[in-house]
Amino acid sequence: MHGRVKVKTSAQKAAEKEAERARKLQEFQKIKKKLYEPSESKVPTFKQLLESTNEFLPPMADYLSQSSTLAYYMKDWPILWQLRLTALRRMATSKQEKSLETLEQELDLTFNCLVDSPKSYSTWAHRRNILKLIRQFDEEKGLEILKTEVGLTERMLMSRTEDQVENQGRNFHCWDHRRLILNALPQDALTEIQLTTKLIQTSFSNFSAWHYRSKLLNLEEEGVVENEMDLVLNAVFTDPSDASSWIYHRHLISNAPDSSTLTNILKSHEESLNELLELEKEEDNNNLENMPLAWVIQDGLAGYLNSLPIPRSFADVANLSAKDVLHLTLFFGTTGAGAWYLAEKLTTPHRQNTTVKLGSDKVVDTFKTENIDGKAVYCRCWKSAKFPYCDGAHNKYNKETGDNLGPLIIAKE
Amino acid sequence: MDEFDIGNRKSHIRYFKNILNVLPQRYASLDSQRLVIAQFALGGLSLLEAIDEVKNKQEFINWIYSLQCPSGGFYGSRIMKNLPAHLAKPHIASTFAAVQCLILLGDELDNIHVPELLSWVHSLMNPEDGSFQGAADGSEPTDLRFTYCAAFLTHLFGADAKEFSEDDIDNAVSYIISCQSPDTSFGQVPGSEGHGALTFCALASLKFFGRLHSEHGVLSGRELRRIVRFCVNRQSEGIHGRPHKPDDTCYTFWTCAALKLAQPSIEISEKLDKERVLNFVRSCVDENIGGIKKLNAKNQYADPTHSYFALAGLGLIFNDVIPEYMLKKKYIKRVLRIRNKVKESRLLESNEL
Repeated sequence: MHGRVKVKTSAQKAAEKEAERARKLQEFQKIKKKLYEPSESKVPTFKQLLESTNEFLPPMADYLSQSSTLAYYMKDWPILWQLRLTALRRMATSKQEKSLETLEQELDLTFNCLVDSPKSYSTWAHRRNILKLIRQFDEEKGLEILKTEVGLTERMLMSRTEDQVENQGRNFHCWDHRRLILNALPQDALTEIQLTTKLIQTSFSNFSAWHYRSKLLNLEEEGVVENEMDLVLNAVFTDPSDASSWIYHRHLISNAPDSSTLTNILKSHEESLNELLELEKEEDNNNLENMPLAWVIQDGLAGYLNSLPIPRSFADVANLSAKDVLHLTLFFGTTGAGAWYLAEKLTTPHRQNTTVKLGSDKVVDTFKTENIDGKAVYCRCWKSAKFPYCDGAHNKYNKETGDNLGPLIIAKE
Repeated sequence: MDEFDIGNRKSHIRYFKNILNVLPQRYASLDSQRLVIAQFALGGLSLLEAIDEVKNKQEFINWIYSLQCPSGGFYGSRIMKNLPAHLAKPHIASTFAAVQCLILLGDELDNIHVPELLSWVHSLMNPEDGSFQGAADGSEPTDLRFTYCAAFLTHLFGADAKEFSEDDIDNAVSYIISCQSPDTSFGQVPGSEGHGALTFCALASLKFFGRLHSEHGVLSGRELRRIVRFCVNRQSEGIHGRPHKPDDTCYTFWTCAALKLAQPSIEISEKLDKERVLNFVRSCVDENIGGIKKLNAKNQYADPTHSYFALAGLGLIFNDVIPEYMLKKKYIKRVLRIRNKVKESRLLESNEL
């Protein structure tokens, strides 16, 4: 009959379930057969490999690629990785065909496993074994891959995956892996420090980054203590509720060499921190126990947003009182106006020239090349006080904006 | 003992009993460590005073002993035992779990091959730095957790100077100290950041080696106070393990145990707000299947690790669990009796004519 959904009877459902189960059983038996019983091709089975000794040397590449799905599901079973490592080692030492390709495929496999379980001890260990093996097989390629690996760990530490409830910046497996890789490469403390700076500036509460940073910096070096004190004071003001910055502050105080500079810095910190405490107290009308500034803002704002009488359905619109309507108009009016203003500001292109001959319609300068004496340097950043000639103002401008403007130099031969 | 109640006691008991019967498909990859999962389930039942709900205790005891390796240690599961000889290796975490399970099931540990076990534990130590491997196959990197298992086993079975000399202890202790981070808590390997669980492993190992609060103690009063401060700062509502990480129910045990070991003379509830911890754990109870989740999130399930450690942690806060043994007080008498018995019988053996 038209429009009636076909409802399966329970007998039909049972039959379907039976058929599905039979299909799954067949599938399982097929896989099991592949793993255990010898096939026509020379690909070794799981069982053969398990029971073999180092003299057993069939081509390993096909076995490894065929059993990669198994590895993916059993990634926490160290034996499985060991077996694969045995096969890969034998393949590499006897220089079989497709060795390098297979090793790189193993890296891809461990990569996929780590995306799924970023904290799997045995997967990380296996990946390190593969990196070692590649380097033994082909030193140049191995070093190249190690350098890429460092970049990969950085990407992981900076990432936030949706499935994970936390970001990966605190993943100590990744930090340890990175440290071990770097031990095998020429030392470069500066890049490491820059990484911690990047992580800290993304989120001051990345304690792992602070911890690592504390191990890299030499507090005896000139200017380091001042710089770090600056950075950490910034952090505590940004989020006074976060423990990481306070712990780093304490570390600096305990370990910085004694000097009059340090004493002065600490005196000024004492002043600033007293201010911060007053600020925190004021925000909560002197009733402050533990509530940090950030929480107060969040609570206040959240409270206001909750109080808006936004109607839940069309019917409710009719029920809005005059007071509610005014409230909503005010809110939407202000946010609307604000959004409009911002949009205009962001989309209208800005003028470049804010200093030179602002009265004229168009600023044009003409020179004849025969009149140039040796060399002439012209301004291109529009900030020079000696416009059209350069006076070095582009340096200050570049520092402020991160731009890379420079002068035009015309030199006669 | 003070009472605590997180509700759903019956469903938690049912959860642990289910784990003892069939492992859900989600945990298939942990098949190589069935003994550890069994320890969590049996431990959970004992913390809920429900160990007698396990009706076939002798079957379990037989299964555990069947996993013993003749040359010392326990395999993680039958499949690990049945691997070819060059791959089958007993694991130190499984051995720790086996001994814990046997104690909880009421066994007297008579059938453990003690000399083989102790020499096997010794063989897992790296002489260069004093760290311990998990198993002789070197499949995992060394870390402090294995040191804790080794310390527990050598202490319980009374390793004498031949099996574990003073030099060995000093070596192991030097590795523990090398894992200390600048804020005096302990990390997983040298250079790591401090971590609540590893701090517990370090302090408990030092206690078993006789290097904590003793005349040979290696941690100063100031360091111990700093460790206490580290632990206390790990409470927001519940407890977490590292600065600015989200609260996690298993750290209820790790961090509080580290706190208690660092300063045994105080009550944990003097330093931490036990009502808040209790409320946090209550909020992480899995209403559907029983057990306790890691976090208070909708898309998470309970798992054996967090269920066990959350209960152990609460037991610790409410004064019923001894931190370094991970067992309730009522088992300690038996543990000490077993320890003395093993010591005596080995003394007699060595003096046999």
